[in-house]
Amino acid sequence: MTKPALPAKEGEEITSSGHNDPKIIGNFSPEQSRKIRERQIERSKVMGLILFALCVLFFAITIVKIGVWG
Amino acid sequence: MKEAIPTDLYIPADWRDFWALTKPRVMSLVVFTALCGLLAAPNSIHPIIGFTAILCIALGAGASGALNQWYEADLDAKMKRTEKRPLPDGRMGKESALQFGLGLAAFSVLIMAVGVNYLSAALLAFSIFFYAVVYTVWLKRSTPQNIVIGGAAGAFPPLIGWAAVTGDVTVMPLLLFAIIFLWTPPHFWALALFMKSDYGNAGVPMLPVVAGRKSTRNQIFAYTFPMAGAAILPFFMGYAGLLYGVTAVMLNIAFIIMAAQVWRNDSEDIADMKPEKRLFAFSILYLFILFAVVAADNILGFEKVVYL
Repeated sequence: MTKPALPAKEGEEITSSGHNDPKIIGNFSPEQSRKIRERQIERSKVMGLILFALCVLFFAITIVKIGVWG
Repeated sequence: MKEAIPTDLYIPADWRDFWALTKPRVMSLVVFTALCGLLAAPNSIHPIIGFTAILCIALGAGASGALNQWYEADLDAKMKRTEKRPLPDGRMGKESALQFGLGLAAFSVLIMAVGVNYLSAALLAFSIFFYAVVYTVWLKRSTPQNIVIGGAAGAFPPLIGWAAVTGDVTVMPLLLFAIIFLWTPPHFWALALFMKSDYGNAGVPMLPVVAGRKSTRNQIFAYTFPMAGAAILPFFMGYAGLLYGVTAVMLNIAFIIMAAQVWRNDSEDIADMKPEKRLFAFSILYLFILFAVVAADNILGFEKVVYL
């Protein structure tokens, strides 16, 4: 369901969907918005870990290929 | 007025759903057989490069699984065993699964080529193509022999593991390939015998659905003998030592006995299909032990004698 727009206070940014609650994303409900944020945070953490592990792996492969580690 | 977004499908998929898309249990068997192929090779490989090869094989298997689930979302929704997968359950969009599968496939092949060698990368690319296109798109819905030819896709990992170490493909890795290739039909048909209604409902022409249970049981028994022959050959051809030879003979005798029990069973009632369930469970153990012994035999340096 569409979240009804709240009246914006002076100087407050109004989102494209009409409401001014920064915790709510677009036309999603508060519960869906919370779920989206939660998923985004979890996915970012997992992606960060994977990228870090890949950096370490690429570094190690490079070192092996140039012959430093036999 | 802007319309409300009505569905949870627009909520980003959980990372665990991406993980489920890679078929982790299948991946574990792929990683294991690839590792055994790598350890059975005569040369040595730097642990970092060996780890990279296994990682790429795992990622390639994950990519195959993701592409398979992307294409088969409609079939998966019709089967109890698969209806809770991320796509049929509506936890993820099809587009995400396709992009994830293609990305993972490209990434795994690229890293294999750059970090390990071109032959293993080419074999990995071909195995992903074989599983995702030849098996999933072409064979699975069109012929009851789907898993006979499709079994080749699952047989590639030890070959790739071997090629990662040696940079070539000789008789021994081809024998390892043949073992898995010939093991696949009895393994899957044993499962299909007690999952017949599931496959039938989804319209997948698995052998029990098309030819009946009697014919499937005959074929399971028939495939067991070339499989046993391929499994014992490495010992007689001097590619594996006594540890492997003794274990392979014992495992294959047990497999043949269980396949014979399936062959003699004429029940149509799933409750009476204990021999089929036992054979299916044993077939997994069989492959794990056989491949573990291939690696152990080489690592422990058992003497290899050519008898044939």
